[in-house]
Amino acid sequence: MSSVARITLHNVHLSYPIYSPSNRLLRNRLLSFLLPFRKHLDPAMKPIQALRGIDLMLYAGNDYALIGKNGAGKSTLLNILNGVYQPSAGTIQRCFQHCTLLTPHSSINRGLSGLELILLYGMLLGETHTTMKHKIDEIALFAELSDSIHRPLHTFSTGMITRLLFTISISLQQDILLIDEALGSGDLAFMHKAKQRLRALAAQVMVISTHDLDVAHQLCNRGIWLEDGTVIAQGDINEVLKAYTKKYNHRMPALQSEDE
Amino acid sequence: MPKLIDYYSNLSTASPLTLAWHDVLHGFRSYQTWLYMGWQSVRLQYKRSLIGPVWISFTSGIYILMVGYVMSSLFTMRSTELIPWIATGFITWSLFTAFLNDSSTLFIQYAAMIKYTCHHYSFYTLFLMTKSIIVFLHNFLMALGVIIFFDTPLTWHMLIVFPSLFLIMMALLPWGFLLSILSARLRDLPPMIAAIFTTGLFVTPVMWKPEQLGSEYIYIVLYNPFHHIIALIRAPLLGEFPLLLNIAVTFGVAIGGWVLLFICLTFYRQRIAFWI
Repeated sequence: MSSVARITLHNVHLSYPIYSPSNRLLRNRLLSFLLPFRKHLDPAMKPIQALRGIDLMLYAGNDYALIGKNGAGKSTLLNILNGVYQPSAGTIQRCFQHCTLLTPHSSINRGLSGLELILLYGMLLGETHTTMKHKIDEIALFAELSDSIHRPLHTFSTGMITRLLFTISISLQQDILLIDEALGSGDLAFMHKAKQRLRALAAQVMVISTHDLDVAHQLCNRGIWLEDGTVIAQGDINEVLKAYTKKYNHRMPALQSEDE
Repeated sequence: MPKLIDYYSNLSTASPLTLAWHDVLHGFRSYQTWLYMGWQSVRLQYKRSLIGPVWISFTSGIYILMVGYVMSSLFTMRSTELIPWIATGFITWSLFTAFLNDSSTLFIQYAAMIKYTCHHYSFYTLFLMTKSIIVFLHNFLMALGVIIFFDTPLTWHMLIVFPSLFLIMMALLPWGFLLSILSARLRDLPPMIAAIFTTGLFVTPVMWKPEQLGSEYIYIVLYNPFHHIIALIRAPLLGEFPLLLNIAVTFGVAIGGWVLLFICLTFYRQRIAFWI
């Protein structure tokens, strides 16, 4: 385990600005400038405080599970780690080259074939065309899509596309792998295989945001419990899950594995 | 690549101007990806048609011939003179109206990809530029056919088209990028842009010649940047050098665009993710 933190968040706050539909029109902006005595723009809405004072250090070789209710700030935190959102206050130190956020949502053209998706998605993640060409067979095999890889994506099911995107991400040299509920849409056999592959990727940091406590327990060794934009608990996965299950009267996943 | 590490590790401490600069730089660096994505996008658009992307040239060719014959009889001009003029003007007009119109919906269309996969905003503008150039090249071949058919002599001047195209794209790139950013925030901008171009077609000498206006109204042409940009492609295809004024105006458009873009990126880049 490396002692260098890959990502350090210090007192990170993030507030989402909210724009009302009438404030998103150039017409109303111009009118309020030309006719200031009439009201054209809505009063500014209060921004949503999505994250408040987050302190985190993510170390290489660890797998982190982000748990918490809907709206706790899990996806926002992933977007901050991924670099698409800048904190409104606080600092973030990132020491890595490649980072991927895997989600079931994507604006990829469904007319592409599976093979073209492998090339394009790999290139979007920073690989070259030649490297991706060499990886096509390996990726198709792992994603169990060897037969349908030449078919266009609109003939694929959502689960098949997720499986393919997931396989591409873990086949590349990624320092940080962020997963937002993505494992949910794969079938059980694939999930098991993906877990094995993920466990083998020890050199990197993986952060999974999930509601499935079994997945969190089986895949991760560290837990981060978010609630209302703040970290309630972080540390060893068993400790965090114990505290979380106690509060919400959930079944503790560790007990289930002991029974088995 | 040490620069990448510097960029990421200093994300919160780097100045907004540095981040804006890195956005544009990283966009240009990933040229292999936007070239591939641009080509795939055109290919997929015409995949189900029998003649593929040749359809682009075919439809433009029909339009030019129809409009050309009507206009030459309206203006009582020889079709051999007016049709090559319309062909060369129309392909350049289509290049920048398609690029700027599509730019205004670009970030909204690729919101998910921007958020989850690649966050260098310049990447998407460069991808759109590739797509527009591929379509332009199809139209260019058609225009070349039309001007040869209508007895315009082939000259070495035609080769000036390529540096002209480069200059035009360098001038349009920052404006397309700016439009993408502003349209993400102001959602009524895309239809406004479309309306401006619909009117613009009639006040720009695409289907008529500036000398038909008369000296009284010549300012409509002189102060119209679109006319100067079109002249950069049109003049060499018709066997002339573009005027120094045309080149100077296009340079002005380019410099103005890049300055405005960097100001806009510096102040608003961090907020684009919240707008889309």
